[in-house]
Amino acid sequence: MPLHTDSQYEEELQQLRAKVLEMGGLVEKQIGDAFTSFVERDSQTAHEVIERDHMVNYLDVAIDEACIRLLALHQPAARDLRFITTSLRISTDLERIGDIAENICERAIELNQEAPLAPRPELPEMADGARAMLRDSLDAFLQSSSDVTAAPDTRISLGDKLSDFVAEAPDLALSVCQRDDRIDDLTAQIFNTMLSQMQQEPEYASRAMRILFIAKYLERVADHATNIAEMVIYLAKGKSIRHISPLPESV
Amino acid sequence: MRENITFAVLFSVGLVLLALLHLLFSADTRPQWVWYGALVCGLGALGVALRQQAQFRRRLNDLSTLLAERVTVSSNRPTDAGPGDAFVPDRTPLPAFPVRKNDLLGTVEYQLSRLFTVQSQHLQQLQNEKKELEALLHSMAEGIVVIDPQGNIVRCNPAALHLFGWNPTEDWQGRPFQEFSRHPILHQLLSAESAEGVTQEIEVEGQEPRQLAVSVLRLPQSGGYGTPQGSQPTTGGHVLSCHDLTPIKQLESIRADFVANVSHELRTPLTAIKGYAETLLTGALHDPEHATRFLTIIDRHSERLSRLIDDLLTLSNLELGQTELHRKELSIPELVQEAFDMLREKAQRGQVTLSQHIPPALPAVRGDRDRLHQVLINLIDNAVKYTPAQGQVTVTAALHPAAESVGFVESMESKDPKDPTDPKDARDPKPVPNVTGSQGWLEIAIADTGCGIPEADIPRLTQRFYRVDKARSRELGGTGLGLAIVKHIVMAHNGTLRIESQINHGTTVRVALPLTPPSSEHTVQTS
Repeated sequence: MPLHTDSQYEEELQQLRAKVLEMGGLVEKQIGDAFTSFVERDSQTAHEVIERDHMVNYLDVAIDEACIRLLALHQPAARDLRFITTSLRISTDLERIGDIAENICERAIELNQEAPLAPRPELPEMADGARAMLRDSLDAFLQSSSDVTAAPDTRISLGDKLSDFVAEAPDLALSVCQRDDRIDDLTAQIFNTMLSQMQQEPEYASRAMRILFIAKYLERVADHATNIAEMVIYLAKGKSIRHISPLPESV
Repeated sequence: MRENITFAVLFSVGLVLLALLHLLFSADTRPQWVWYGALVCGLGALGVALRQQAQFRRRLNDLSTLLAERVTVSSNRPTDAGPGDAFVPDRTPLPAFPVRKNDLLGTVEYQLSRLFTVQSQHLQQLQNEKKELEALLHSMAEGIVVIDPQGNIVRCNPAALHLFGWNPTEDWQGRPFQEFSRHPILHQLLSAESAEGVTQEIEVEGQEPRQLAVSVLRLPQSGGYGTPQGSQPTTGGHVLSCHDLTPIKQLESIRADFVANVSHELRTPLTAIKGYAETLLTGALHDPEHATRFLTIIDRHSERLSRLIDDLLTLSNLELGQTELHRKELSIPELVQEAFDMLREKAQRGQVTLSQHIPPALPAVRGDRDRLHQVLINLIDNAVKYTPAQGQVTVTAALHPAAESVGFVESMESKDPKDPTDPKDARDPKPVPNVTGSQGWLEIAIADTGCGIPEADIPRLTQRFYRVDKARSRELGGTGLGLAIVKHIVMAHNGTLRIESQINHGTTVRVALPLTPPSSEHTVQTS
């Protein structure tokens, strides 16, 4: 990766990456807290998560602006162009996950006003799975973009190590895509359980519906994480693996 | 110096000759030799001056070469050793300054050499200080991360790597901090808007989840690291320090659990006492039939309360290591017999048969009579309590040679002696060295034909207030502390405790005591 001679450009790319990672970290926390508020029936935390969503929105707008600015002023090509467009799309996905965290909290608050239902073991598994997917897809983004924005002296001192680091990213991203099926299966499982419960005991319907919603939300989080991972593969390899089924064994 | 004088003498002699020539002789009688004399003097002075100049130039040239050489050597010299590297001091001597002439240039050379000496002393001092600081940073329990204005890691001590769960082999220097942690609170602390000196608690996820107290110190701009690229940085970077709260939080939750348990256990008998006392006061006192029954209940519960407090005190003393063991030679059959005598009545009431199979020729064990008596009472009492009618409680004792001690010692050191280890250890002796210096172990096994204990509960049996069947054991009058006390006493005797159980078949508790315990330990550290 050649150095950017324009230090202003270099700096702006670094800032963009930092913003995307910041947003990623924030969204990870949001979704984690949202699920905790649901499991622990903690409306206070739920309200806090809803309050914090504006920070996610703010970062989304900031990333959009930064990307547009970079595109307009520097006319990037090749790797840099892919990095900027990927950031643009990842921020959209992250913003959606932020909204989903908000939705989970809303359902949690509603559920807290009624008596608890028996816990479904699939939900924590889904939440852990979806969060791990989000974390790994962001890690993959971090790895694959670390050479675009590494400071020049670091790039020289790290050398091969850095390229190894970058080379691992697509595999990690692919593993995220492969894990999505499991989450989908769990959603179907919850759907069936809740459906039969609603048929047997109609008085549980409103709560069962909300739990079903939460399952669906978690499934959406996993989908967005998969989108991010697909974009990372595009960033690293310049190849799109979207809408390919079955998934390729390796990239 | 000499050249200067020569020059001056020749020059002035020449001048004097010329002046004499001019004053003493008229124009036509001026002698030729004076002319020649003045000429020779003038040429001599010129030669001296030229030579001196050449010499001066040469020395100046030497000096500048030397200077250049020194600057190159000292700038190439490694002044910084990485945190992990062994510091290899560069001992190649720097080119020395010749102090040759006591003239102007000589003074310059002398001052320069002084300057370099002072500078290298300062440099050495700075390097030493730096090494000291690095050693300090390395040995700290608190994690320190120094971050430059661009958000890259400049410095990071091993504790920080450990606390954040980062891979210590990874090269973190110069890499963005965000690559290692995306935690929003950390980011917020590092952003310009946050107040300085605020300590935040964060949770770090990973293989070992930790709770950390993190605070940020902003470095002044002048002391900043790195060169600002493009825009001017608002700060000179940050120092992030973090402190591990995990053990404190764990301790806090253990303490809270303990307080909750104790108050619950104390309140249960107290509620009964208060309830019946109130009933008596509101009139039942004058009803002799009820009054006696109520008073009996009150008596039973107050007894339980006092037993609970006794047990708590015993346990607390044992745990604090304040209990002194009065070691004496003890006969185990005698102790068992005494325990049987105390519990025989209770066993008969529950129609449980007590029996013992103890070989007559057992060596004596050194131990505290009262404490070991308590161990046997607690264990046999438990066995009787949980054995249904027509059941049996059997006490056996056996001798194990010293060679088997390792298995026992291991389970004691893991502080998990209640773990039902494979009895294979005790059965086939392995030729392993004797690590405790004891001559073997005496194992006392208390076996019952009771209800048994689920395997999942066995590891937790010796925890304070842990009950397998909560309703039942309270009904039977237990305090929930018996086994915890047993464990601590046995451990104080350097022994081990093992519990084996099969549901509906019975439980066997094995206490192994070393035959010759280390004689020096009289005060026992159990916790």
